[in-house]
Amino acid sequence: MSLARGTKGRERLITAAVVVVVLALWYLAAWLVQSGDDPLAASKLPYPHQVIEQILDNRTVLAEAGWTTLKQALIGFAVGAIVGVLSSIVMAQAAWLEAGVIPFILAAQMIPMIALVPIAQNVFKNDDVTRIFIAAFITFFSVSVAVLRGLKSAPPAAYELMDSYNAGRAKTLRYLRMPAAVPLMFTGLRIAAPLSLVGSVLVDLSGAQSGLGYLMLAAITFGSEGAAVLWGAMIVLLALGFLMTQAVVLVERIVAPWQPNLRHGSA
Amino acid sequence: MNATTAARMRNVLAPLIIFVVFVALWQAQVFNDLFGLETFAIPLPDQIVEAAGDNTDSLLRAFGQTFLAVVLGYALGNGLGFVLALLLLALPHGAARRTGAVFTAFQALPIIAIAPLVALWVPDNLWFKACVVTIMVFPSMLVYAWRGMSGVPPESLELMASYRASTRQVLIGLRIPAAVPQIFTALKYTTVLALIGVVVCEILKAHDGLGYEIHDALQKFSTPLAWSAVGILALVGIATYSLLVLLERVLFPWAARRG
Repeated sequence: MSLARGTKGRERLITAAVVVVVLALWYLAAWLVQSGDDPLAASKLPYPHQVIEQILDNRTVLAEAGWTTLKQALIGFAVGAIVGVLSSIVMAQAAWLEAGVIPFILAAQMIPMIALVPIAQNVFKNDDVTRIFIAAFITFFSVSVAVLRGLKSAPPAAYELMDSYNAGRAKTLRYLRMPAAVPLMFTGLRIAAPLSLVGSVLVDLSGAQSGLGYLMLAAITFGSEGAAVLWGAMIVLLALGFLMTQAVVLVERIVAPWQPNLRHGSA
Repeated sequence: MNATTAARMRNVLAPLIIFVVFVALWQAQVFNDLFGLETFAIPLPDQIVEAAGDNTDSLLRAFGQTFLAVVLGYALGNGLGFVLALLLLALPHGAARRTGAVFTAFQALPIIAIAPLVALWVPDNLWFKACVVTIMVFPSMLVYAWRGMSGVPPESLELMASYRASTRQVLIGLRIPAAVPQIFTALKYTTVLALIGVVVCEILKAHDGLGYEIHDALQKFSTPLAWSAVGILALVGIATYSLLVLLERVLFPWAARRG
């Protein structure tokens, strides 16, 4: 968006004002909560500076747990994305195969895959493998449905053009269908990024002895004792999810900068 | 047989054949042998169906608990999202766009991270689940409904203005109908979000519902029962989604074609 300099300054001012108002409201709410005699008040709604303090005090613990959760989510995300792209390219080659598989991939979008976490834990008996598996599984479906749709998204006129050049199947795939699928592939990746992190965290939450989810669980299980890192873990997790999605957006801008709607964040 | 009938038959037959072959291979223990896993870890289809048949009562009860929370959170979340979208409409366009962008970013967050915090605030099982779902669901509805309602063509607005239509009339006569395709997109997308939210809550803390049933069955080494609970969740997801698609086609055929 091209904004005049004056408007830009005004926008910054508004943003700053919003931040100040939010912080003020937060302090007020936290004061209201903490002035009661609830023993869990400090974890229910701490003051903003307490949250920052918490994160700084526990930075090694948080960094370690965050890395455990993030690393497996990233590996799974990468595996799921690669398998998803390759298999949908293969599927798009045979009409009967595509027709046979599409209903299942679509149905997979309507299923809460997260329910597979305890099942996968039970099968693999290994938290790291489970985290990678779940992240890969979720990403695979999200990406393959997007890529399959993208491979078919080129307009008929473009196919006619390829025909008129006598481009074969392979060349049509390489120069027409694959580039056409790239934007949709990134949409799939953007949806899958936070979900693969959620999958990884849920493994922490349901019985693993490490990771951010485990830290958060401690707050519920051990009451005010374990609550010290709840907010820290929560904010680190939210930030990781946000960064992962932003990383996908960044890669998209580098790889596929030709899309006109890139800047409007269409879902 | 012309080309369309052939394609239609393929679209029905091919998935059916794949499904039958898959289940048959599974039943014949091919997958178990391939991955070197006991039927104890990955039960066979007939064991799963049998487990569902033997535990109908407890599965039904768990389903009821899960489904009630899903419906409650789904309704509250989508309702809240829609009301907030209406409020956003009242803001000047620039401010509304910026607020909308904030909530779009919201969608990229693993919102589930706040579930433990909600558990501290809301001790009641049902409301804990419903609150988490509401928080997960409302940003999507807010963003989509606002996009739909604010994206009406300027000519239509001018026409309404020329008729001296009131804000309310513009809203009911133009904006809301124009937003129907987006609203349904959000409704469809949030069904699976609502299910995910409830299942996570149940695995995390609430000791009831299908999510807990999965966890509990695995603890008691009755894997087939856990798998049947997963199967029920999958069916619920597919059924609610399909129901929405059907509703959209029946109630708003013009919107279904466009969306």
